[in-house]
Amino acid sequence: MAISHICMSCGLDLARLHPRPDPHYGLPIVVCPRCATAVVRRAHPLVVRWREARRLRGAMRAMGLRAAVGAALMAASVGMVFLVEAGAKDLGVSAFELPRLIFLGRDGAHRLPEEAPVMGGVLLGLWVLLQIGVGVLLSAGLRHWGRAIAWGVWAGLLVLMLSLVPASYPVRAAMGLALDDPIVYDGPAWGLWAERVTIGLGALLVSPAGIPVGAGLRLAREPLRRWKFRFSRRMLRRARGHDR
Amino acid sequence: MTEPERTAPGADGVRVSTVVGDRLCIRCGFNLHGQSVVREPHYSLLIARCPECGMAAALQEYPLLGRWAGRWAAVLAGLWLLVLTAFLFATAGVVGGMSIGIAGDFARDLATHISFRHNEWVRSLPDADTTLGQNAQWIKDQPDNWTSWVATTWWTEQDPGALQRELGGVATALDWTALWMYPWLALLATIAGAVWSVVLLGVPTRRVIALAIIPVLLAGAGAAASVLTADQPWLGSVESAHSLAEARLSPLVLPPLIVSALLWLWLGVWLGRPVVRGMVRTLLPPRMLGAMAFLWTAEGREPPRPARR
Repeated sequence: MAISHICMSCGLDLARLHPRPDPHYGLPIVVCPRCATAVVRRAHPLVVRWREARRLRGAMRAMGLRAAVGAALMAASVGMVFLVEAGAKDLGVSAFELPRLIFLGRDGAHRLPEEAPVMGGVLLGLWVLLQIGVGVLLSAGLRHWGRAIAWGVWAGLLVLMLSLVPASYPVRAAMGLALDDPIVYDGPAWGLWAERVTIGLGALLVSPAGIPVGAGLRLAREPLRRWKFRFSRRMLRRARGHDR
Repeated sequence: MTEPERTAPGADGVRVSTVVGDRLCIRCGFNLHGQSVVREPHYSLLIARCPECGMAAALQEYPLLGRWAGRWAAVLAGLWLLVLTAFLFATAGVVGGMSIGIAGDFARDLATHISFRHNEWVRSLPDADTTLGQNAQWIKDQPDNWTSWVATTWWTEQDPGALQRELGGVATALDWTALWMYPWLALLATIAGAVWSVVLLGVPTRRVIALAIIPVLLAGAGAAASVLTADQPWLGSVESAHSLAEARLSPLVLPPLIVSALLWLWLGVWLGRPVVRGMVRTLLPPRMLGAMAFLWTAEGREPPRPARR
């Protein structure tokens, strides 16, 4: 049952009256049917706390989702670069030559399996989808950053992630010297590092394709929310009908 | 406390309406649904009287929703206290455990040396089987490394200081490669400090810095206990060379490790709130920042507002 709400003018309990949002301020107004006094339906402190907790949960969920999706997309982007590099290494060619070998025909020097073009196509499709995902995240999820900052920070992070292994060597070498336990550099050569970074950043050029998808998702959010609300209300009514 | 006047319901004023919603009596919890709303004669306030205990309910107040709200609040507060206590011990465990672990790694060189000297002695024994008893074969087969065990009869005749000096003093007796693990201690202590600063959001940072000493004291107590029990001959006739080396070196290494962990913990406390605020500001769009405004308002700061266009 509704929580009691007494009209301060005449004492009538307005609990059963449904509040209407007033056209001027959008406040939930109940007009007393006996004395015509308009009163605002106040939320009980417990209800307010509950709503605050739900809002906090929503904000934390949104934050966690953005962080998790961002981390997953970054890991997948870095993983794709290493996957391409491993494929090229297997064939003994540069990663830049890989598309020509796979899609434009074979040469006598490199024996590729029959299904190589299909597998290459699937991989390329996945990569494009991944970059569209990055575009959606940067344009819709992190829209408040502004596009230039979002893409700049993402590119910087990508370069940082691709450089983590070689960048760790100066620190490890310094510690090795201090502890009289020198280490040998067995990280990527300069050319290989440059190849990785070029592939990673090159793929990022596809990501702006995610901007319209992100914009569409943003536009669809409000109608979706309304539909979800209407749907849950209809389900609730149906359930109440069954109870009766 | 003033006892409320007990009169029959509706007898102390003009009946104006009936309670049709849920409103529980603040004294006995009886639902006042269906009771008369009256305008009392003294102040012309609207009240409803509880038919069970006669308590007058001031209808301008929010209605009580039941006693369970208060009970649940108490349960939640208790749970929160429990979580904080568990996290206190977890922090102490991380700081103490990692410090003891690193101190143990520092003692590996001395442990290897002890085991080397012990094995020399074993090889020099004319009748090792009789001297070492039932463990003779097992002790003789041990390698010269820090995981070895030594006979208690041999150890009681040794001067630990002399063994340490054979390695060239304290600085050279320490295995400095143990420092590879130190960044993890620093990182975990900093994260723990940051978590403390956020979970104790209502507490001023200076007080949280003071409170951070408690888990470090607990860790120190645990470390002291581990040092005091390190060279106990648990198995009677044999002792771990590593434990013996730890008992010698840990008193020198553990205090600076634990004090440095406190410094990292303080760094975490100091940086925790700004870092979390930065993360919130980075990851959430401005319209959702309102739900996290307490991160700013708890410290008397102005919560972030969307930029004016």
